[in-house]
Amino acid sequence: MLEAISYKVLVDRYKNKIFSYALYMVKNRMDAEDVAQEVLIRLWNNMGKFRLPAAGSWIMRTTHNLCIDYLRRNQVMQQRSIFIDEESEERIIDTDKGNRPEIKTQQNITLDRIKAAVQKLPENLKSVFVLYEIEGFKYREISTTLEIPINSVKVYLLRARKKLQEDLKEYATQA
Amino acid sequence: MQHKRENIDERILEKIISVAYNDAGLLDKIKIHLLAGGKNPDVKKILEEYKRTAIKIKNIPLDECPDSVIESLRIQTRNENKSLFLKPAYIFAIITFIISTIIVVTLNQNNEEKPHYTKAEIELAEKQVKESLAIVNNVFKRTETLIQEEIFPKRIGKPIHKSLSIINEVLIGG
Repeated sequence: MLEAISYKVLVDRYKNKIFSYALYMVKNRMDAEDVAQEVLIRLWNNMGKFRLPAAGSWIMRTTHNLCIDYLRRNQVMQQRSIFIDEESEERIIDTDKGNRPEIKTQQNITLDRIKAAVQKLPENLKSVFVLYEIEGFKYREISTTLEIPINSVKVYLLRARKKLQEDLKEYATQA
Repeated sequence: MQHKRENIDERILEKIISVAYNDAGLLDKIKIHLLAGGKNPDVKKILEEYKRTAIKIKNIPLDECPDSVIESLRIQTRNENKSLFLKPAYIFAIITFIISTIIVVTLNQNNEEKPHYTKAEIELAEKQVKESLAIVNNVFKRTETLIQEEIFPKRIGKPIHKSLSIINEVLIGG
């Protein structure tokens, strides 16, 4: 019973982080949903096998490993690496309801552009960048999750920021 | 920008990026802001560019996990006869049970504080019990003697004997 309660708390806390991370890594929603589902099932099957304070690292490490496995298995499908956000069209339509639809639309386009640029980063840089900048993990947690030294985490993060800046140069100067 | 970077030391660029993303130390922040404010206009420009990107990145929301994922989990686990998601009634029952258990255990601990006796106290108690039993034994012996020597012959035997004599007299006389 206590396991079920702990599980529910962990699912509520990490479900969006798992799905977001998977979406950046595997680059389409259906595959990200499959990964998220698999992670949550594994979490249930492994409840009690790890300490609860370390659950975050365990969950994200499992997510990362599953994403890597998924990418390796689907290398052919990986050709379609352009980020397709099915919700972006809906967001653009929804903006008509707002007071400043043109601004909101522009913001959504910029957001999609940034997301696409993040997705284009090499895997090692992207995993560190997403975990740090978007999911809010600390250097040490990322080091544990990805099983790499903290210094590597810092170096990858710096490289990712530089690469992203290059990719988004036009938008940075336009905005 | 590449041209400007050539004029900027790689270490300074790293610090500019850290300041822009707001995870630099205080000294680095001061140093970069001083550079951006005076000596080097390129630093200011690069800092602003990185800051713009950093702000946009910090505002990226997490993508929400679709309900269908959670729903399919429920279905799968239901087939396995396992319930991952407790109904509120169960949660209430569990919490009530836990709280009652805690209260009962706490009360019992308070009430059932067993006294601790020393060896000397135990020996004294045993001695007193033996003395008490000896007194009781003495009383019983006196009572036995009294019954055998006084009550039976005088208070019971004598009246019975007298009664039987009267009955004999009546019957023989009749």
